[in-house]
Amino acid sequence: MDFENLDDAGLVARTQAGEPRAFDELMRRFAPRIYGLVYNMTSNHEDTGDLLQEIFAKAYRSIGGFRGQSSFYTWLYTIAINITINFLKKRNRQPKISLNDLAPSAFKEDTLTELSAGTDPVKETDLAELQVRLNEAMQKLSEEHRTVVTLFDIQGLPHKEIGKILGISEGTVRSRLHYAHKQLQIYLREFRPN
Amino acid sequence: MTAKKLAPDEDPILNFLRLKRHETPTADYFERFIEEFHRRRSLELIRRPIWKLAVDRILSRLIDPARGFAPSRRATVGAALALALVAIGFGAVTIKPWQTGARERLTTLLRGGEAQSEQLAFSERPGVDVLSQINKLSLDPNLDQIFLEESLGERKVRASTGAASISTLRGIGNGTAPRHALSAPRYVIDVRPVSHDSPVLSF
Repeated sequence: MDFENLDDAGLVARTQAGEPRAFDELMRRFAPRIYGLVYNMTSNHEDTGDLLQEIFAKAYRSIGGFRGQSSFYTWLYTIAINITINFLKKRNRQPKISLNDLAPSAFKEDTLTELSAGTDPVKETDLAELQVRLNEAMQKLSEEHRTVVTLFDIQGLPHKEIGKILGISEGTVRSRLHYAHKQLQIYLREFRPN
Repeated sequence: MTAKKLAPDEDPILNFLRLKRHETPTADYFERFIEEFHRRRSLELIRRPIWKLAVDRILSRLIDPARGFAPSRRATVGAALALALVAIGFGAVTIKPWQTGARERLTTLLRGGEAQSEQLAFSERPGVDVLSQINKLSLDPNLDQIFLEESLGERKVRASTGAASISTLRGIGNGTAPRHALSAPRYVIDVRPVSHDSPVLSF
């Protein structure tokens, strides 16, 4: 069976019918995006790897109860966010981690330079420093605000989808985004043009 | 999924944030991730007891991890039926004829004050099992109502009958003659219907 040609719903149905290889294909499709989501919320690659395992294990165990009321990716994103926020709450209860322990950005500097071409303030700045500062600024946001920034600014999801995933209205998504952007601009004001 | 097109933004910080979407490991990482996933699943199947796996499976049907407790209608009906069967099996739910309609009949008795008489059948004392005595009383066709009265930790059973068939009460209790004193008119607050007693548990 060639699972690559099946859509998400078809792969879910195959998994529910007891074909674990269909779930492998779902993991191939969604793991990079879920990785990005979790990483940008935790800023730690090691934690991200563990959480990714936990998220897909949970999804696999629960897929029998998935009734297709939402799309698979909305369902999976909701699981990922719930697990990640629970993890962050536990982590926050433990002794504070130093922001210096946060992982530097995963992409290489030349890639970043290439991608950031045209943004003058970035050219003039130490890119590695900016990466670290971005992660720090993200960690200063509350979990709710970090989540909407990750989903909207980093992952590029529309407001409506974010509302569905988080179970909140579009208006709340916009309001959280507005507040989070203001906060980020304050934390990173030195990187903004005068 | 519809991702927004990467476009220059007025705010370089927000524009730069968008670049973070490229912060993902290589394809090799995800292939290894899938292998690791299967390895952990196999270990879990070996290490976890079967009953835990079964409980997980049932819970995963009932609890949607994305939405919390959201059982399907089929699961809800199934769970309710299973619970009812278990409750009946353990005797937690018992339906006794003398429990039915006690409240309504008590109201009639107090309001009407008809030619009914109410008798103290017996009091609880060592060697007297109140519930078994109530069961005996309930078989008496002449008795109209049976009340369990509880005050200051003492339990008394009263029975009333339209024909005042006192003789039917004789011998109930510890084998001695019962107390047949006619009681004064009673108020609702003073009398608790048997149906309000805690359910009989028998295992």
